[in-house]
Amino acid sequence: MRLNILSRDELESLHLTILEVFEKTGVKVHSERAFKTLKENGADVDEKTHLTKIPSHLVEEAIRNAPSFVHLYGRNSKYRLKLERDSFYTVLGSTVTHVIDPETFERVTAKKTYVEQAARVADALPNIHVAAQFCLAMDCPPENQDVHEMEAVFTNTIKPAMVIAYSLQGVKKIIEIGKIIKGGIERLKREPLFFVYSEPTSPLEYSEKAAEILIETAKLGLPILSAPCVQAGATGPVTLAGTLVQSFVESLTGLIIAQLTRKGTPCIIGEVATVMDMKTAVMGYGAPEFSVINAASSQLAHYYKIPFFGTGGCSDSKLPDAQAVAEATMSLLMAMLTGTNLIHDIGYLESATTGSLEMVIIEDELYSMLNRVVKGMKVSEETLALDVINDVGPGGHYLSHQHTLKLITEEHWFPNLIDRSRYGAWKAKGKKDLLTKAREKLHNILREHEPEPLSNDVLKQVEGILESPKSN
Amino acid sequence: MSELEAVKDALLGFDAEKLAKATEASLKKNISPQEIMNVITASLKLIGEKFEKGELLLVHLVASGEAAKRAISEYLEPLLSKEGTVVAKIGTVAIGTVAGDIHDIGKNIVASMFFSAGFKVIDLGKDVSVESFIKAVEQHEPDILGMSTLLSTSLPIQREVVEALNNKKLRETVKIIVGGAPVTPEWAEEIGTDGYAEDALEAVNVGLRLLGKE
Ligand code: B12
Repeated sequence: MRLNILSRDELESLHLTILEVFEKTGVKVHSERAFKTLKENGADVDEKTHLTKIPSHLVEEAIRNAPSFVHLYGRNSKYRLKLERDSFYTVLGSTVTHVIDPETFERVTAKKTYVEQAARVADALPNIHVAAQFCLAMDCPPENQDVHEMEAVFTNTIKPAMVIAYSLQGVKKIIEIGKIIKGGIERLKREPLFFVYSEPTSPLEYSEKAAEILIETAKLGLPILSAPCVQAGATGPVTLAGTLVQSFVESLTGLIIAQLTRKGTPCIIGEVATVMDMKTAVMGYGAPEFSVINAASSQLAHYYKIPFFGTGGCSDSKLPDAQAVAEATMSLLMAMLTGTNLIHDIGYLESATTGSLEMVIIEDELYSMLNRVVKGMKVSEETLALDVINDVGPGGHYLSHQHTLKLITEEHWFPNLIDRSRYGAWKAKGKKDLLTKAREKLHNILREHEPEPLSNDVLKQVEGILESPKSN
Repeated sequence: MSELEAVKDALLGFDAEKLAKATEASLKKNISPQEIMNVITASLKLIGEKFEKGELLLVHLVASGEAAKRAISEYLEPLLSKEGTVVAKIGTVAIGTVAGDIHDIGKNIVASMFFSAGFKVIDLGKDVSVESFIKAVEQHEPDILGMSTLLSTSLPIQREVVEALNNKKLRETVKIIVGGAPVTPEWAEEIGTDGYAEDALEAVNVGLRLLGKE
């Protein structure tokens, strides 16, 4: 089942407006390298302010040059995610300052142990497809914090990951780790273990750091994601369409720089685009508008034939409570229905400042449930069941029919955490609610799940990168 | 509607254009700049109260603040300074987002709220170095220095600014407040600042309290 919320005509209007913003308003690109590349390729630039107006032919050419698929791999080639067309995969949340401690359930400051725990949880759960930092390793040296975080991720899961680096230096070291795990740059390029996140600044700026991280990654031909965080009404127009337009201009600026750096660089475009709540000045991660912008953006990215990174499974609640699950369900379902190739920030609470592993466990279940919704209804001679209905006839039952036995597991979804038992059975098992069960499952995973270890040799080399001096 | 009523009306309608016109018209009728100022200040206060009660939104607050700023700087301040009167302000706030950090919308909102509350605001921008903070204190002699950071990795800059002010013997000249997602009241205390606020409304209240003007 696939949801399209825009008409072809509306997509055209969005696209044409995006091109006009590129030509008329432009983007300030603060990196010398990126600015020079754009200038050399025909952008109309202002040397003083670094305002760069990009002609539509350059924009459209870059969109054409970007591959229409990006494939991510786990440590081994068997684990492959095909970001293309309507496929959808979940990505763990990334860089929060606080987490809900799995033991005490108190909101505490993030540290490396939680990064490791989260990677193990992602490794164990079938419906969390891409790992990420989850939270910050705030107990590690700041100049190497990103490297510590990604080391914790890569050593605790075989799954591919999203990389957020805080400096050029950091991204270089993280790529080194990738090379070590994959066995060299060629293999890493062929089977990318990660994509690197570069964030433009809304409205319409590309910071030096974000551009440099992007260029460094693109130069090597590794997948790059360019995605801003726009808040409608504050750092973007109040309208959802206007915010989408601006967000695409920002994201595509990254794609253009990447394609000009190295034609054919695997690019993912995306955004975290929602409203600013005008009563609290909080960026609404659980807002319904978030899902609408995401849906339209996913459709536009499909129109461009470029993999799309969107948002889902997040909340503004402070706890993994009913609000959190309601908001996460809404955005996950919308993202899945619209073929959002990467749905990120699973487990985010409190407007992207707190992470909850209980939520990650619950969302693994939600994904499974919603996937059944997205699968829709199969209509065929077999499923229409004309003969079966005739066979059973009035007053009979279907429980033992061969048709039932054959198709039951294909047609029906079976919950794991969600409870459908009768009252007595539920009571006998301790009257547990969803959160309690999620916590039990979390504790089980943390106690029992051992991710496949890296070889000692690889581990030693990775260790070496961590300890290498700053000016690497 | 009298000219002064038109001023109030324009501000409560969040209309910068109308406010400029009403201010001009009032001046033509020989209403004193200080009198107009008073109406603007009272109207902003009213808008602030309505926001606090949830009757108005952040956009109204920022829009009225910016409208007032324009009317004051274009029409009233030039006249008042010619008369030799300084526009009465509650105090001066210098505020910026610290080095390494480019998150600035939160800082902008805090700046705007301080302005609406009657402060003179010096916006130092984003990615502001320790030296620039110190220079701003030396140059503008603000009553309050505000530092915003959204990045845990930029938190140490806040401490460095406090230390640098200490070293330059400037610490006692200014009240320091800090804010942004990773900042906590404990951190604010640990590094030796005078206050912390979770949001912009509270930031202004803390500022007022620190200046004894609550
Ligand atoms: C929007 C956003 C961005 C935008 C900012 C654009 C802009 N023009 O500002 C962009 C895309 C550029 C961005 C970039 C990055 N971001 Co960011 N970003 C956010 C996000 C989602 C919202 C921030 C926001 O605008 N909130 C709304 C405003 C109004 O609220 P506020 O800033 O908190 O301000 C209020 C109060 O804090 C207080 N306040 C603020 N300042 C002050 C000052 C004083 C003196 C006082 C008293 C009060 C006060 O009053 C304000 C109004 O009520 C936050 C998550 C979050 N919820 O905070 C992440 C977040 C801050 N970002 C994060 C990260 C990791 C990054 C990047 C490193 C990501 C990357 N991939 O590169 C880069 C870093 C760039 C850099 N060097 O600064 C992390 C921070 C982690 C950390 N280390 O602490 C967060 C928490 C999200 C996350 N979990 O990943 N980001």
